[in-house]
Amino acid sequence: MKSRLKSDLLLFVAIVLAAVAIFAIITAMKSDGTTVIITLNGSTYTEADLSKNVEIDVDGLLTVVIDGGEVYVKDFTCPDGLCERSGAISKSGESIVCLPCGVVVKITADEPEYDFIN
Amino acid sequence: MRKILAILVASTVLLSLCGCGTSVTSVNRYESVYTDLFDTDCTFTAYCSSDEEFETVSNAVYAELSHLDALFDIYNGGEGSLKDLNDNKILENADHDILELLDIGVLFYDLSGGKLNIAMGSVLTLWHDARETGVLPDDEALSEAANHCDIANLIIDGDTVTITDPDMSIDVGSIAKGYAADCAAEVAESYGLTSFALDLGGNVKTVGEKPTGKWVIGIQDPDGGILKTVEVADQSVVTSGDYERYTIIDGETYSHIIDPDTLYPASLYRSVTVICESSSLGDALSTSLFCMDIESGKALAEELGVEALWVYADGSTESNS
Repeated sequence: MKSRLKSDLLLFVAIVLAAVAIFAIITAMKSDGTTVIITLNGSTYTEADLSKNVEIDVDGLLTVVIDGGEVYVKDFTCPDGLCERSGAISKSGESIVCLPCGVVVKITADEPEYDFIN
Repeated sequence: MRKILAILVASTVLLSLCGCGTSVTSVNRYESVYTDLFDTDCTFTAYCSSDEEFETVSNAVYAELSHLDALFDIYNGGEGSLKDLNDNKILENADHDILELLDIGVLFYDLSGGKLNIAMGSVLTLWHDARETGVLPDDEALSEAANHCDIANLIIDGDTVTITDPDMSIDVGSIAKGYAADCAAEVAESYGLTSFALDLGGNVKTVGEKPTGKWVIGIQDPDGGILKTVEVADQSVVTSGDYERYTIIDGETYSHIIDPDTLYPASLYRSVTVICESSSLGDALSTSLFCMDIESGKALAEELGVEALWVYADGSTESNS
């Protein structure tokens, strides 16, 4: 009877451990995907991984640079250039906007650090 | 028997551990960005159960914002818009949204001691032109325009609006986005959404909480990074900042919020943020506070029972909470 109880307890512990492990894996997978979303005139132009260095030409209007976890804009064609002056962004929730070009560059995550930045 | 019980208990633990995972997957976070409204970028974020649901509500929200933008547009608005009012100095059968917005403007003129003045369109037009041309407004032209900013010459009688000074015009740029966010939120709520937010260029209105808790809003450090984080539900967080919209003329930065007394961009603070339920109130108040000295600003925030945060040029802050 006693060994029966022991094996029940072992099984219980094993299942709980498995649950914790699965939960940990799900959580780890979730916090990973930080994505840079580029929209042009309201619709998604392209998406990119924040962790991969790349330069993206957005329809000849401007170039989005992802470098070392930071995102900035260069080679803009609009007259005011406010997008370039807004500098580099790196946190989920942050965005760079170029209204004349209709381009929005935004860092998103499944659970962004900031929903909005004022 | 006992083994079955053990498995049952363990399964419950397993289910409860994964519980938050399943609840997150039943509603997804969606986001639409509109770049052609209110001369800023507008974001609608919502937790919905399907792509179709979000698309339907997002289209309705866009339609409402677009309708209001056209009504309040003083440059390209059509018949019945504020451009119509400014051009003809009279608007009959005015839309109720125009009447309500003008009422807010008049109310805040009084509350702010004249620091928020929707009747100073003549002055703001000169600054608007300056941003377009890169040439500072002429001082004489500014003082002449300032003679035509008396809000007493805006007469609202039933649904007829009249401007009795032929050189006066209305500009609601300082309050329109906040009002529009409230209206668009009502539309989204009418579709049954309970967890969403609207961000109209520094004008955030939240409804409900996210499935994971409160909405997180970062207040910018004007020199980069985040100065303060606020967590809210069913509240609006509205910031008026000199970094929102500005122009650089001869190496000097000129922001878009003009002090009616100096006729130049207000420069007491880098930004003022207001946290309150109504986004209309928040927008009108944050613009008012941006031009008011700290003592009278704090007094007004207290009077309205609203939390506010002032950010000075050196990055130091002051709040009334």
